[in-house]
Amino acid sequence: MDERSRQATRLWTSAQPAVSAFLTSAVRDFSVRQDLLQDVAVAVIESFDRYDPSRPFAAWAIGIAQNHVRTHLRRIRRDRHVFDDDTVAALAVTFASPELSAPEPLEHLRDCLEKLPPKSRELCDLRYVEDLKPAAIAEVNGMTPNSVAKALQRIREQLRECLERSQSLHRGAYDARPA
Amino acid sequence: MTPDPRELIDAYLDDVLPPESMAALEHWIRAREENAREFAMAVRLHDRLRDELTAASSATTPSSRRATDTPGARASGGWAAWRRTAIAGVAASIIVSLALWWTLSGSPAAAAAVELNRVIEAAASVTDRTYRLSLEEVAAGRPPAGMSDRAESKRPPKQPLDNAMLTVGSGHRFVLLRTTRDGRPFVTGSDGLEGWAVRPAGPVLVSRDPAHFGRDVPGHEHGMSLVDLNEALNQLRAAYELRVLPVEKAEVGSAPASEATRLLVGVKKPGQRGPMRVEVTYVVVTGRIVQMRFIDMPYGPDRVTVRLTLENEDPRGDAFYAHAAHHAADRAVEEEDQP
Repeated sequence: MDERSRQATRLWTSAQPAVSAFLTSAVRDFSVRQDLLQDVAVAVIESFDRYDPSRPFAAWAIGIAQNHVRTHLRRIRRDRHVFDDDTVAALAVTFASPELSAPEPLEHLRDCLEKLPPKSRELCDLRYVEDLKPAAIAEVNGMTPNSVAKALQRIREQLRECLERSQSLHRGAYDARPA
Repeated sequence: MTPDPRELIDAYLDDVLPPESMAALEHWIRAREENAREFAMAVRLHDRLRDELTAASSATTPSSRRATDTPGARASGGWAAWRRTAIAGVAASIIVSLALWWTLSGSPAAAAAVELNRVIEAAASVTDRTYRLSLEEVAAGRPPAGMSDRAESKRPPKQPLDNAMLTVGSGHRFVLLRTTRDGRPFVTGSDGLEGWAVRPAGPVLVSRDPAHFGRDVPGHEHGMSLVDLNEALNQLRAAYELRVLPVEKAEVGSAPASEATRLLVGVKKPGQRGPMRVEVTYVVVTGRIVQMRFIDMPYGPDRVTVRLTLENEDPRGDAFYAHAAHHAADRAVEEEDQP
């Protein structure tokens, strides 16, 4: 592999999480996200020669992703309630910011997932692995859809707090907020 | 009452946001940069959870998933394996992009090589695996001239392979369980130190040559012995033209339909030994092999097409590979004369 290809690979590897998250913010559906991510990867590869190294790569890649998102949302807008173009543009700018486009450590998330109670872990599996929505999860485990939605909200909040605590500890500061 | 933005965000992510609330969420996101940032952070976690948990789930086999399916089992352990493989799974998704890169750069062989490396790496992380063998085709052949001078010609005919179960472990250990034509079990194996055969009747035969009874495992004759998967996959790299075929979503072996699989195909280069064609079906995210087909493979005087479908990757322990685990304690044991 030549140096330019290596550089492109490195840059795409770093930017992919931010691009993926941006796509999810606009389309929500994980399998659609994956299809679009592949399309964006192809587009990035094919147009890498046009990338201006003076610009942040993630911003450039998200710009390409934004075009794909617009095309996709235009196709489905008649049938689904989706963000308008201005909101998508605002999100593109946000995801391209250095804070959100920087790669984040994975270890903390895995540790935080391990700390979840078993029931919460099961809900996460149903939502994120089986890709079930709250109504379908409710049918599986006998809860109401509203309870499932609330539970997922609480789980995400717990994970966020755990991540913040872990990252503070990692940086050497101690966060004394209760769990 | 102004809706709680956090509730709007979570409802949006779970696709339960009422249409009338969509405008409220958009308005909130665009009102301030901090709001857009808060929304983006929530989505980033949501997106990462999908990748992490999917990769972790793909790493578990059906039997081990059953074992970890109770809340108690999950809470008490089993995380070490998924922690390792979650890293591999996320990295694998990145490497899939790299493979795509090479493919589009006009190098499908390079893309296949990348995928084969992933498969080899995934195979190295598992110690024991059990396959079901299915004989798809047998082309009966005549022994070549001079066959009567070869040691193979002095051996009894090979027992049927169809529906045999082959368990392989590290260090060239294996157990091959077949059923004779009259329905009785015939087990051969090696614990890495000695080879053995537990026949339906008569004494157990043991040889100081650990490979002595490995000749009935397909591929041994031509450098692609299934007893050593790493060796077989490396042989694939050296002696075969490789291609990667598109992602499929269908139930294959122990991989459920929800797991995308890909087919790595090798066609033998001229002058090389082994089956004419090898097909390896593996899970895209983890590189875990779920099925292998060896087409037109030499097997004794015949040529066969044999399919190996992964049944499980349950750890077996050292004792499993010793002959004592496969017969009654009072069975006579005889040392096989070496030719």
